[in-house]
Amino acid sequence: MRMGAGIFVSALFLWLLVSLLITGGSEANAGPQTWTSSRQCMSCHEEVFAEWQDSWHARSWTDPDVRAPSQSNNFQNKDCIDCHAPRPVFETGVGNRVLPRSSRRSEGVDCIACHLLPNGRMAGTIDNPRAACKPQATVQLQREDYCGVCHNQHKTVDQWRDTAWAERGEGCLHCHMPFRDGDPNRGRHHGMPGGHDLELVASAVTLTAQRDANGVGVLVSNVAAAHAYPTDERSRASDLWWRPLAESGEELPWRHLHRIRDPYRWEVDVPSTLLMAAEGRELRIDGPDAQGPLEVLLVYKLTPFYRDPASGEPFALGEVTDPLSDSQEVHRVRVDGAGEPK
Amino acid sequence: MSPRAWTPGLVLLLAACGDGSDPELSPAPELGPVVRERLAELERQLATVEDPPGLEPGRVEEVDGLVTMLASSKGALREVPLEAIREDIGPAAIGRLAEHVADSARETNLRLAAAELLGVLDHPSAAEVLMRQVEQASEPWMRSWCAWYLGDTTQDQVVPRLLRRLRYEKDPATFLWLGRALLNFENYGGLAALEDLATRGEDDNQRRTAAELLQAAADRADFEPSELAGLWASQRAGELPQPTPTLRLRHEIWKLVNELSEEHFQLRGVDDARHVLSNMGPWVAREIAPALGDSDAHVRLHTAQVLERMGPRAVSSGPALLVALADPSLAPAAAEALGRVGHPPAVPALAARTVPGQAHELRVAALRALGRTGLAEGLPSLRAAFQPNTEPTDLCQAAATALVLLDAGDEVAPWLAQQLADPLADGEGAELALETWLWRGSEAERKGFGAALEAWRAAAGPPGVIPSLDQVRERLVQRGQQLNEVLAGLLGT
Repeated sequence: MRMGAGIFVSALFLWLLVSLLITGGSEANAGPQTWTSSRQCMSCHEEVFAEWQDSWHARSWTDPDVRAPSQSNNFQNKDCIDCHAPRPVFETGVGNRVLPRSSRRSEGVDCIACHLLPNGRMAGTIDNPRAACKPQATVQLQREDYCGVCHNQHKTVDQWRDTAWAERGEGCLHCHMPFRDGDPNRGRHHGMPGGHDLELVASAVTLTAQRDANGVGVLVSNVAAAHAYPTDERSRASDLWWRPLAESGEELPWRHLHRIRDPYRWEVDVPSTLLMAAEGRELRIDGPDAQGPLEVLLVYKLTPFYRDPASGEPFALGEVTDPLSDSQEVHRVRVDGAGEPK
Repeated sequence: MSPRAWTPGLVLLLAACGDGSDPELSPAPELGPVVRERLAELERQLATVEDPPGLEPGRVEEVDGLVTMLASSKGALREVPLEAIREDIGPAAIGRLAEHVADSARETNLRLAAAELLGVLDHPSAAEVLMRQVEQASEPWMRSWCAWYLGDTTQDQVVPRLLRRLRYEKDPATFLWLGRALLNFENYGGLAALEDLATRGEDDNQRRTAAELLQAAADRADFEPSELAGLWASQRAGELPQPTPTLRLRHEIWKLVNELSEEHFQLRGVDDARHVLSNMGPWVAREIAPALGDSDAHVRLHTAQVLERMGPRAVSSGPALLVALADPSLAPAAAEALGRVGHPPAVPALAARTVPGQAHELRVAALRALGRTGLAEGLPSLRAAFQPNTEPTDLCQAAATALVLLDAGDEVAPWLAQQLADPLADGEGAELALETWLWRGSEAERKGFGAALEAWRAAAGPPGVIPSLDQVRERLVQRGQQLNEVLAGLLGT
C-alpha cells in the first residue's frame, strides 16, 4: 500500500516536472505541435501577417494571371508548383532548387515556407526558445541566395551580382523588404513590393525624348533596379509606344516602338531585350509623322500578351491601338513639333 | 498553468509505459547512388561502340557526287546513290554529309539529299546530325524532313529529344513529322498533337496527313485510331506495340533522370526532363523506379512526380512507390503518384497515412491520392479525416475533394460552398471541386444538377479574359450564393 502510494507520488512528480520543462510554465509559449497553416502565425504576428496576406507572395497560388489557361492552367501544369507552393526553403537548403509541397498550397509562399527550420523552430532575427514558435536567429534569411532559390530561376540574383548595389552590399531586402517607416526598430515590411507595385516600377526606369534634326530620340534607362528591367524571364514585358498629337485634339492610335522582354523558352526566334541594370537604350522615331508634336509612352505588363478586354482574344503587337487597355502606364513624355517653342 | 499544459507530461508518462515500438509503418528504404551507378554501367557498355572512321580525302568528291545524284534523280535511279552510301562509303561519309546539311547557303534540294543519305546510314553519329537540325534549324521544312528521316532509322536514342522538340515546336507541319517519327519508335507521346492536327489542322492536306498517320499507327497496333490515346493513358498502354530499348536510349533516359538532381539549379532542365520522361512508354516506369532510392532527395521526389504524370501507364512502379512511402522526405510525392498510377494494393497503405499522428504534408497527399485512385475502399478514411471542427482546413479540403471524386460529394458540398465565401479559404480549390460535383451529377442525370451546372458556368467570365483578384472574389461569392439557393434541392433535403 505504502509502496503503491510512493509510486503514485513519484509518477505525479515526474509528470509535473516534464510538463514544466516542456511548457516553461507559460501559456504564451505553448506553440502548435505541427505547423499546418500560416494562419497559426496570425495571433502573435498580426501586423506581419496582414502585410504578407496583402502581398503577392501570399497570392502566388491564387493570382488569376498565374492560374490562367495560358500559364499554369489552374496548376495543371505542375512545373509551376515548385516555386508557387514551395516546401520550406530551409528544408531543401539555401542555394538549392526548391521542391513543391502537397499541403496548404493556397497559402502560396507563406510564413512556413520562408521561416520553418528543419528543427521545427522558426528562422528569425532573434533567439527565443521560450516563445511559441521558438524563433532562432538565422542570418541566411537576409541573404540574396535565400531569395534566389526561386527568383534566381529568372537570373535575378545573378543580374544583381554584377551591379553597384551588390558592391555596396545592398541586396534584395533593401528595395523589396524595407524597414517599416524607414525605422530599423520597426522591423521589415512583409508586403515585399515588386512588379505589381507601379510606384516601385516607375522609380526603376526613366524615359526622356528629345527632338533633333531628323526626328525624335528616345532614351529609356534602367536607373534604379538592381537587376534587369523587367526581371522576370517569362511573363513580364514593358513596351514603348508613341503617337502623333493631332491639332484637333483627336486621339490617334498608338504605334509600337520597342519591347523590353525576355522570351518564353519556346519563343526561339524572339530575342531577349531586357534592359540590364544601369543600361540606357536609345531609340528613334523618324519619318513624316514624327515632325509634329508627339507623345511617347512606357507601359508595364504582367503578361506579355495584349488582349481584347471584352473577349480576351489576343492581339498581335501591330494590331494594338490602345495599349493602356491591357497595361499600366509607367511614364509618358510629350515632344513638341519641329519649330515649335519649347 | 492550464490543464492543456499538463498534457505533454501525461503523454510522455504514458508513452514511457508503452512497449517503445516504432510508430512508423515500415522502415525507411536504404538509399544509394542509383543514378550514378546506372550511368556508369551504361557508359561502360557503350564505350565499346566505335566512332565512325574519317573520310579519305579522295572520297569527298565522291560523297558530293552522290548528294548531287540523289538530288537530281527520280524513281529507281535514286537507289544508286542510296545503296552506294550504305554499302560502299558507309559512316565515313557522315562528316561531309553534315557539312552539306548545315550549310544554309547550299541549294535546298542538295541539303535535303544529304539529310536523306544520313538517314539511310542509320548510324548514331548520323542521327545526331539530323537531330541537331530538328532542334536548331531555323527553316521549318528542314526540321520536318530531318524528323522524317530520323523516323525511318533504328536510332531510338533520339526519342527523348524528339519529345522535347515537340514541346517547343510551333510549326504545325513539323508537328506531323515529329509525331510520325515518335510513332515509328513505338512512342505515342505525339498522339495529342496528331489528333489535334487531324481535326483542326490548317488545311485539308494537313488534316488528311495527320489522320493517315494515326490510322497507320492504329493498324500496326491492331486498334482503332480513336482508341490509341485512351490506351496510351491507361494501364493497358502495354497492349500497344512496345519498343525494345537500345543501350543508347536507356543511357539517354538515365541522363534525364540525372538532370533531376540537386546539382542542377535551373528548373528549365528539370522541367524538360520531367516532361520527356513522363511522355515515355510503360517500360520507362520500370526502368526509372529504382531512382526512388537514390541518395539525392531531388532525384527521388522528381522521379515520383514523373511516375505520377505518367499516370496509369506507370502502374508497374506501384510496388516501388509503396516502399517509398516509408521515406519521410519522399512519402508525400510517392503518395500522390500512387493515387495517379492506380495501384489497388496502395489503398490500405494510403489510408494508414491519413490518420492523425502522420506528418501533415503526408496526410494531405494521401487523402488527395485516395480520391484519385477512384476506388471506393478509400471512403472510410476520407470520411474519418473530414472533420472541419478539429482538422486543418487544407486537410479537410483534400478529403472533401477526394470524396467528390469518389461520388460522395453530397456529404461535403455544403462545406465546400462555405469555402467559396471565406477569404482565408482555398476558394479556387473549392470551386473546382464543386464544379466536378455538379458535372458528375449532371452526367448522372440527377435532378436539378444540369440546371445548376449551367448557372454555375454562366457565372464564369468570358473565356480568355483573365479576371482581376476582385473579379475572382466576386465570382466565388456569386457562385456560392447561387449554389446555396439550390443546394437543399440538389441534396434532396
